[in-house]
Formats: sequence, structure tokens, C-alpha cells
Amino acid sequence: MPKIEFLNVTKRYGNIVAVKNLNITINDGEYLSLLGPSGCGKTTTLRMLSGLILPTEGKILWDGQPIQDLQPDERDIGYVFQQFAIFPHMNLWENVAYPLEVKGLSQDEIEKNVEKYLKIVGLENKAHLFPKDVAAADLQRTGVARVLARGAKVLLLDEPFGALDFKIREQFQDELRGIVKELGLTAIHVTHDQSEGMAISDRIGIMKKGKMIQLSTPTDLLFNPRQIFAAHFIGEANFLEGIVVDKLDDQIVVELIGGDTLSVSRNIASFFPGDRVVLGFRKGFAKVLNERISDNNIISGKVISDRYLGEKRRINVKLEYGRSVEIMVLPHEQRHSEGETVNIQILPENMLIYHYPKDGLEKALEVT
Amino acid sequence: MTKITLKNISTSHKSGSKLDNIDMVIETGEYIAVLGPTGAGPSEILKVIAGLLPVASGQLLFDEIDVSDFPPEDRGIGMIFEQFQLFPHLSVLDNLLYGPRMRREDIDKKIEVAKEIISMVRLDGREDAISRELSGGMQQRVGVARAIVAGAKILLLDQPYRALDAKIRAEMRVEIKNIVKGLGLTAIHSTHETEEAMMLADRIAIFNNGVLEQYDTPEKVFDEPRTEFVASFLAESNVWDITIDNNQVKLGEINIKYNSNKYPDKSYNRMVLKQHAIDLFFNADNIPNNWNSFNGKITKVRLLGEFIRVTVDVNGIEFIVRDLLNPDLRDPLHLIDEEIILGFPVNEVNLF
Repeated sequence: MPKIEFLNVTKRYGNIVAVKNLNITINDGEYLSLLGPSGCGKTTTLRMLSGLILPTEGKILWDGQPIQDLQPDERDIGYVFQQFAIFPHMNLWENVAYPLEVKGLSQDEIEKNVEKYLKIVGLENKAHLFPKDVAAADLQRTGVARVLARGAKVLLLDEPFGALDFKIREQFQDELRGIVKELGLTAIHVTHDQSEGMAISDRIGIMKKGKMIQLSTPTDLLFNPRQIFAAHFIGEANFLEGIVVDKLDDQIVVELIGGDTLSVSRNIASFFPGDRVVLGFRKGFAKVLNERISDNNIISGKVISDRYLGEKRRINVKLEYGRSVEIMVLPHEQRHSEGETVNIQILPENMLIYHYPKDGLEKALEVT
Repeated sequence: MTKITLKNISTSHKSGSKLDNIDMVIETGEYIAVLGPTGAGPSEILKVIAGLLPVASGQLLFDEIDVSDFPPEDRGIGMIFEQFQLFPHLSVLDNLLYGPRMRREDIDKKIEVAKEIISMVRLDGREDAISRELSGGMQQRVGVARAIVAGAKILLLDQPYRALDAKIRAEMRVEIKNIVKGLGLTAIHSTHETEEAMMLADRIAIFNNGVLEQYDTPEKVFDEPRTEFVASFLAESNVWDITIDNNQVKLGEINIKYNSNKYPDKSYNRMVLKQHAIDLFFNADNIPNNWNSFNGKITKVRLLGEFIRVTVDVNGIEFIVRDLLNPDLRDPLHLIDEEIILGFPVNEVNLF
């Protein structure tokens, strides 16, 4: 329901900058995920919104109104953690009712709310059970029902599926997104699992070292990562260095270090001959060909390994000038033997291009 | 450097575990992955080898010596856990030397060894860093280095990379395996991830409910699963109740061809089809020979990062397909309600 805005928000702990100059708008009814390596600032962002910590600089607006001066319990926010935080000596009904009793609601209102929200999370038949008698997913459902019953309009979810088994996790992801959308809530979800972020979110924010790197829809992040780190962090990609040698109407031509050339046809407006660049391509977007059927965006090399990993194979290829790339293919595609010469084709529209980072490529790809 | 033999090992139900009559040989220098649901056996096997879980019956041999009654500290084992288990306030070097100091070994000699191993795990220059200030990946490297300095001949790795980010995890897997192989250590690695097991292991042991379901090379367990559990546990799969009729699988109104040389009986009643074994086609001309193919309609699409999962309805039967994200699918969510042809090789039909 509410729209949340972070305006130039920074959080420092002494000399350590946990979140730097964050500017994001989370739309009314949006399901947004924050993804990034440990220590990137995603949980700090949640904690600032919840009021558990205060920003050092900047403002957080709730439907246009600053909320820095509001205490956590004045913010209509529900916080759901990985560890459930359910009282073991109360049954599920009592757990959901507890904050309403503390709030001083009448018995009628408490009963109405608890029943309504236990039903929404699918626990109406388990209300009498104690935490020790139900599965982990039901404990987390109880946690969600409790924050909803308290009247939360914004849900903050910090790795909420972390303690659940894989199969249950997916089912619960669908359930949770359904609840958020049905009730028109705004949700901000922190996770380190990119497939979870992809499945559940309207938009995903990628953070690194306290900064927002890219905030986009899941498909946009996969197909149009605007920074090298986003291309590296979401999915898997190869990166090669080169220099722009030609610019045509709809393509630019890049000479790779070592001599091969590759053309790029998307997001090329800001590149000109002489620019030092990094080219990228997703490991699943390249084709491995036995013969050089054309010269259309092909680089050649020798197979170092072709590893079968069950649901995919990873083919490592050493290019003629020393660099290695890895290609992912489905298991039933042709196998290649060690030392075999292969041609890797990446169509110009599937190439990614970036200006060479000022601190070097290795630093730009660094996850820690 | 040590061969490990488990002979008819069972644990007591009273211990909360239920390993049942396990027979396994782990050759010297082998890297073994153990896979299975939580509580089904993988962690228990590690604990039995480490001496942390008592054996109710059977024998545990290290190089033909029965070590069943040896205390954990006399087994020459290093354990690497998800939670690192370092002394957080000690430096890298002091963490490595803690064991030797307690055992009153010659520390001057051990310092030299420790520095060599610190270099081997790529922590040069960080000997004096306080361990809690290191990244997760670095702390895990310290854990491995500590086990090696302590003279471990066997490394037991219990979900060692679970707490690490995906990118770091991928680097660490390769790095630690290279160190283990370089030193000729015998390693047993428990994990929940099939890809991790397939990538690292010489052989994979799959446990279910305390029973060793299959113990074989990665290719064999994946391509020739001996049980329904193994087939469906290793990869996300479609699993159905079926009947066999006229040398074809009958699934609802659908008839599916299968390899009758591989499955000569007629008494099968379950079919497992891995999600990634199914391909989607817009044109029937592209379907290879010896494949099953059916017309269907896409009902659900789920992005999984580098993969995509598509649910297809074929005559009321739901097929779930897992495919590499394709550059042609820039707008995958708009595939819903599209008519599609679904195909899979005859050889991918697993019957039980």
C-alpha cells in the first residue's frame, strides 16, 4: 500500500560505510528484492526502514512523509526473519494473537484478526498445534500471519526461507508473493539466492559495498546488466578485454587482446574507436561449433575440459591467445574431447559491452 | 594417504541416527561426495569416520587397521565445517599452531610448515590477521590449512561452503579440491548440492533413510540410477505412477516409448523423467529421431537465473521442463498459453 523512498541515505559505523548514498523508490504494492554478497548493505537497508537503526544521512519517506523520527512500532512494518521467532510455549493461534493482546485490542477483534490471517497463510486447521509439532514452513507461515494480523502494510523479509528445505522453499515463495499481491502490501525481501529473487520479485536491486548497482526487473537484469558486477553476480558470464576498432551504423567492432574481433549490436551508443572495453557474454548464450561455418562473431580455441555435471555440462576452452572461457550446454548436446579445436559463436545481439573499469577488471568482479 | 573401509556399519537408533548396514570402501587419495536429505546419512557417515558417533555393529578400518574404538583425536582426521570453527580472536598463524601447542610439539618446526601451508591456501601476508576479520572464504581456507598442519591424512568436509556466497563457493570448491588432490589426502565431502558433488567427486554415495542407495562415479549415478530415490534426488524430476502396455508407458492418455532393452520387465509402475531432459520445440521438424514428442500448452514460467522452468500441460498431464535460459527468450513470461511441442529422448525414461 505505501510508497517508500530512500533519498541520499547513508549509514556509517565509524569509518565503515555500510550503505552509501542510496536513492531508491519502492512503489505502492511492489515486491522488491535486494540481492548482493555478504556485507553489501542489504540488511542494513531493511533495518533502517524498520527503524531498528537510523540513517547517518538522508531521508526515508513513507507516502511522501519522513519517518526517521518514528519508533519501529509506529511504522506499520512487519519484519520476518529466517529464525522464525515463534514462542515455543504458545500454540500457533496464541502466537498470532500475542501482539494484538499487547496492543490492547478487544477479544472480538483479536479473534477476528487471528482467524482471518491464519486462514490467509493456510493454517486455519493447525491453530491449536504447538511449534514443536509443526514443520518449519508452518512456523514461518505463523510468523507471516503474526505480522499481518498486527496490521503491517510493509513486509520486510530477511532471508525468510533460509531455514526451509529446498522443495518447500519454492512452494512458500509462490504463497508469499500471492499473499503480498492479494493484500496489496509492499514487500522488501533480502536474499542471497538469485533464483529466489528472480521468482518472487517485481524488481531486484543488486547491491555491492553499500551501493545500489542496478535496480531492474529480473529479465532486464539477465539480459541487460548495466554494470560488469551485475553481469557477473546474476547468472554466469565470461569477460574479455579489448579495444573498439570500428563503429558502424548498428554495430561496433572490438579487437580482443590477442587479435580476434567480435561485434556488438546492443547498448553501444557511448562507445567509440579507441575506447578500452570489456566484452561479456553469458555462458549459456554461446554456441560451440566444430567447424567455422562463417566468420560471424566466432572465437576459436582448444577444449581444456568438458565436465558433465548432471543437468548441464561446462566446457572450458582456452582461446588461441591464452585467455579461457567457459560455456554451459545441456547434457545431451555434443561432447568434446580435451585438446579438440572448437569455435565459439556469440551473436552480436548477445554480447555485453562495458567501459574498462578504472580500478581494473579483477576489482570490478570482486565479490568479497 | 589412507584407505577407509566401512564393513556392515550400523548405528544405534538411540543415538538419533540410523545408518543401516553400510558397506563402503574409499580408496587412498579418493575424493568422495556424500549426498542425501538431512538426517538420512551423509553427516552421520562423517561422524562415524571421525569417531563422533558410536558404531553399534560393524567395523571401520583405516588401511586395514580397525579404528572403531579409537578416540577422535587418534584417527588423523581433519574436519571442515560450514561454520569455520576457528578461534575468532586468534591470528591465522595462531589458529594453525593451536593444536601443535596443545600437543607440545616443536613449534619452531611447525611455524615453518604452517607458513608453507598458509601460502598453499593463498593467504600469504595474512599470517597475523585476526581470523574473525577475514572473509568467509578466507576463514574456510584457514580451516583447511589448520587440518593439514595438524597432520590430517583424511579430510571430512561437512557442507563446508554452505555459508559462502555462490561466486566464492564456486572458487573455493576448485581451490580446496586441488589442494586435497595435490597432497594426496583422502576426502569425504557431505553436500546437498548435486552440482558440487558431480564437479568434485571421484565417486558419489547417495543415502536415504540411513541406507546407502548407490555408490558410483558421478556419470553412473546420474545416468544409471538404481532406485527411484536416486533418480529423483539428483535432479529435479517429473515422477508419475504409470502402467506398461504393449511395450509403451501409459501415463493417462499418453503413450511413451522407452528403451525395452534397458527395462525388459513389464512390472514397472513408476516413471522418473528429469526436468532438464525435456526440450521444447516450436517446429516438429527439429525433433531428433528416437525421441518422444507431444503437443502441449505452456501454463507456467519461472525464471531461475541461468535456468528457466516451464510447466507444460499435455492432455491433462503436467510436465515440468528445466532449460538453460535461451537468448531467444528475452520475454519468457509471455510464453504462457503458447502451444508448444515437448520432446525427450527415449533413453531418458527411467522406470521403477
